[in-house]
Amino acid sequence: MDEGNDARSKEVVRLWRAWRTAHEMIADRQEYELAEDEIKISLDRFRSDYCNPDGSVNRGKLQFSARPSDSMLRKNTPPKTDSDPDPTPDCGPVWVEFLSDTSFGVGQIRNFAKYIITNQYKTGIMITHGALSPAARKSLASVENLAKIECFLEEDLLVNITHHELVPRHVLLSREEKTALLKRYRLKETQLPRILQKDPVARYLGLKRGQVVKIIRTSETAGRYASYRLCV
Amino acid sequence: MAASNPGPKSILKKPAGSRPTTEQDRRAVAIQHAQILEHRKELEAQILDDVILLSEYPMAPGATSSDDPAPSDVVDFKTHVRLFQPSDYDDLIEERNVNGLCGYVLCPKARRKTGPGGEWTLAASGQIVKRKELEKWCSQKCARRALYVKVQLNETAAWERAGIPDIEIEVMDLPTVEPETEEDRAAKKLGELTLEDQRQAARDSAALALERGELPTTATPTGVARKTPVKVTLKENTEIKETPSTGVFEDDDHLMVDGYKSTRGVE
Repeated sequence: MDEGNDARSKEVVRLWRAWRTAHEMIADRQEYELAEDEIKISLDRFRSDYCNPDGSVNRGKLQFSARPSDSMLRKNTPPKTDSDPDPTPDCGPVWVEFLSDTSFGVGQIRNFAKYIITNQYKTGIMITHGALSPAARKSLASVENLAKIECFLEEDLLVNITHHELVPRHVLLSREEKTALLKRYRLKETQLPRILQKDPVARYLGLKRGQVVKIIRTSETAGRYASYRLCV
Repeated sequence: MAASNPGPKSILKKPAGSRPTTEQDRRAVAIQHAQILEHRKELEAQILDDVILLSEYPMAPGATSSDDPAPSDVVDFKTHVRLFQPSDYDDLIEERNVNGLCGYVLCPKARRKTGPGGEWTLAASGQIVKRKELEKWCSQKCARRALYVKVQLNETAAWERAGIPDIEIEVMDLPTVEPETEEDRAAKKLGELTLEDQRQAARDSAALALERGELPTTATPTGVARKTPVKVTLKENTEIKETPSTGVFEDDDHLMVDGYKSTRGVE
């Protein structure tokens, strides 16, 4: 009985940490509207809100959505052109869900994608307990142009990697900032250093192909040193 | 005057397979490469669809076990699995397991669940095996049948094989034949071995004879070479025709100059 309780409370702590990191991740992605007390939820409150009476976590409740703020929408809208006088912004509401299945096939991915698309979310983040099957991972690419679906393992979110002292600050550049950068240094896009889309920080920030991040490191000689990387 | 001059002319030879120069040529090459890539993508998408489709087989309603699969399912399986690489086949097995089915496509049963426990477990044969390996199948029979298909698949990329029509995957379904025993198999193998030995000996001796310049021999199954006699008849032309003398030229005609034969230096 005591052992069962112990395992259960460990599970609760794990999920609480993943839950917090997921919120921090959304908050760090530009300017989604999230309340401060939602991000910094205490373990006790997490227990009282999301646990069943017997102490186990109710994963069905572990889901949330966030809307982008107006300034973020403005930033992510492509400039008007003749052919597209009323452009739609690239970003949109995000849906985050903790899924309780232990194994993931194409079926589960399709269900999730259907939910995202029917509810008009632009981005869906599924946080899973077990790994995806290879076919499921490949099928993610096929729905890419309808909605962006990102997958994280629970164990990847136990700590927030961007808070580690060896991880420098990554700042996503907006469209205008990117063009200004390329103009300032007279560069073509391809001449920038690159960062992979599967890079842990790139995944954390949800980078898309073609976006540029500014990486600010501390430097012994210069104080701060900024470099830029193009996501590929 | 100089305005019409197109500029200095190169004295270097133009390379034989010169690059496309005009805008149109370059465009054509780019389009061709793009089409090749597009074709590859299509094939990959098709293979993924096949994996997803086969992950829910068998479709025939009456199927109960992989011993007597429905013919329609077998045909479908063969056609869809044709272009798979072994890795795609592994994906298919995993996908079927996620769906709760046995890894073999023609088997409708659920996969084996060995209950809670660690990473390793005891197999029926007494060996220690990975639990994951064991739980892929419903039985050992299905595992063998599935792997029988896997070893026939080719590592070569699908787009290199797509045009080859004679790739045929065989399915190990022997519903009527009794399972052969170890002895049967050994005897069969031994028979094949001796037969092959004899053939090889015959081939070797024939090759050797040819190399030595001997007459070609016909090898008998016992390995004894028998010479076939060849009758040689020489046909010689013995008559030699004499060239007829014309009577116009003398022996020393060649020494005559204008009808006069020089006497100098003759002595």
